[in-house]
Amino acid sequence: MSITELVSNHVDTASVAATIEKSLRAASTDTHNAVIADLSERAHQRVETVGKQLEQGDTLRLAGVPVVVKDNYLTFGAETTAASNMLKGFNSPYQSTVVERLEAEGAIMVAKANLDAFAHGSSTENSDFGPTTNPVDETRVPGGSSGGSAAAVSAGIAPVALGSDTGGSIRLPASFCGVVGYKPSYGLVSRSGVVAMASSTDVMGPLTNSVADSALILDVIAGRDKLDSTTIERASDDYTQLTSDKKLKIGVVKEYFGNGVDVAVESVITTRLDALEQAGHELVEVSIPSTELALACYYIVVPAEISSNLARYDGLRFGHHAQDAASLDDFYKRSRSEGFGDEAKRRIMIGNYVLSSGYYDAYYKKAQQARTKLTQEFAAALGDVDVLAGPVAPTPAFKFGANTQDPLQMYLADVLTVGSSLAGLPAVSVPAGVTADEQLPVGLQLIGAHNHDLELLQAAAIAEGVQS
Amino acid sequence: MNDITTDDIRYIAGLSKLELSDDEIAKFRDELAEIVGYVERLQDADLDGVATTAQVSGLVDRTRPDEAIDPSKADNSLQRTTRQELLANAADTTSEGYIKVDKVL
Repeated sequence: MSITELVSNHVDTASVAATIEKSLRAASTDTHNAVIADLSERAHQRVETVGKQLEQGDTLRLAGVPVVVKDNYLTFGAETTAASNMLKGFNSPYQSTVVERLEAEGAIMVAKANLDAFAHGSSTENSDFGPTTNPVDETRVPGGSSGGSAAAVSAGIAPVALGSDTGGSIRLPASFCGVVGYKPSYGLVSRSGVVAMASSTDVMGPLTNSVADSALILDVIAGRDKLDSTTIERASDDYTQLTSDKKLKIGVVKEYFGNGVDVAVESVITTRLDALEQAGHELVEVSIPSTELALACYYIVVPAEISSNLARYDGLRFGHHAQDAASLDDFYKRSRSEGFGDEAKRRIMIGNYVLSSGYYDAYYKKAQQARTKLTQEFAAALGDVDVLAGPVAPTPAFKFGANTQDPLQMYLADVLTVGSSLAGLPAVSVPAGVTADEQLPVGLQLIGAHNHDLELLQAAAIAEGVQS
Repeated sequence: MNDITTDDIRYIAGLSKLELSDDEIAKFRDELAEIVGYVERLQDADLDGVATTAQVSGLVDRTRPDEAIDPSKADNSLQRTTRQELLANAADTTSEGYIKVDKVL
């Protein structure tokens, strides 16, 4: 059932309550560790509020729609932990803008989703609440960092889950779990009230069962927010206008094939692209030559920003507080060392290394230059075509433990998603089919021009509808 | 492989306000050496004269009026937040509404 159909069934408190109870039950019996906190008390209050609004004749675009929220979004009704020991026990006095905009249209938050702690990871194995399993195959990871969100949608806990994407964290789990994951243009959705990872690439977006559902959620959350000065004006006043009879010109990014991409993944993507061609859309090969530099650039820029953003965890204002410290400096060090896990420590140290005196020009400045080059190459490629296409990830969902011993190997899962993040471009993972041998879902990645989200969503809807 | 030493890790950990055991220092040295070794491929890229990019929003110097906000009239929960609510998550506070820290001098 689409969100629109679900909303049309909600006419009063009783009908909203029935949907929300069902979703809360699914959350409380979740066997995938997709959700790590319950919002049932607040959800019950919200059922009353939304029900009354409906009974008064209010029109709410998301009336009674259950939403699972990645636990790095500040929300009322439960702790916000970012799945980290550092923030266990943190009760936010305010909510994120995205949650408030969804609530204003009648959506009801039902649970908080698991993630890699602080959204650092590609498998959700790095959660201080234990890993999430992939509903498609429980021996495999759901991807990350929004793994709980993708699993929650895939397992039917809610039709919408919120995720955040810094270098692929919405798209990768969407690909691994066989759902739609939409990363909006940088700046189109407010970051206010979301635990910061890398401020220049963090983007908030939805994971859903269909492109139309993602478009509806984007339409509700997109646009300027006075609480986030990096938000941009929306380019469309209606992101749900997806029907288009236009024939697409699709730029197939040649660097996104070969080079360590699984043949099974390539085969699913090629089959879907061929189907698009047979339906009358044009495929052209395009090149983003700096793709080979994108991951290196990302793992300089992003840890640098992480080291800065995570400096706020001093143990004093919020977060884990060390006991019986000998001095203020000792208090800082112990609070941080006890509260942060290895991946956060690793990224903070990489960040401080590349920013430190004597290394800044060699690493950080080079990365900023590579970012310019990459952004220019994307703009040039998108000048000739409607969207860019390729796989989301080089592999389908991998087994637990496959990459945990080697951080660099884990980072390589993001090799095809970080480029568009660095360039601030909107990108989406659309389910494209399953691998022939293991029947694992594979996502087709489509990338659009900055602030051309409507055009990208239209292309995604076309790609979703074409039968391979 | 680059030449990150355990002393480098100790130095960076200090900058990062992290306390690491000797085992952790050895482990992070190996991991950071591998990661930094990977990102070093940028050194060979021809980027001379290319401008730097710090952000991609397309926005420049956005300002807002410098006005006090009346929490009781705010249209969002962040601006409705009171000092007391914010301090509820702090380690230790004074009765005057300040965060208490150990003496630094």
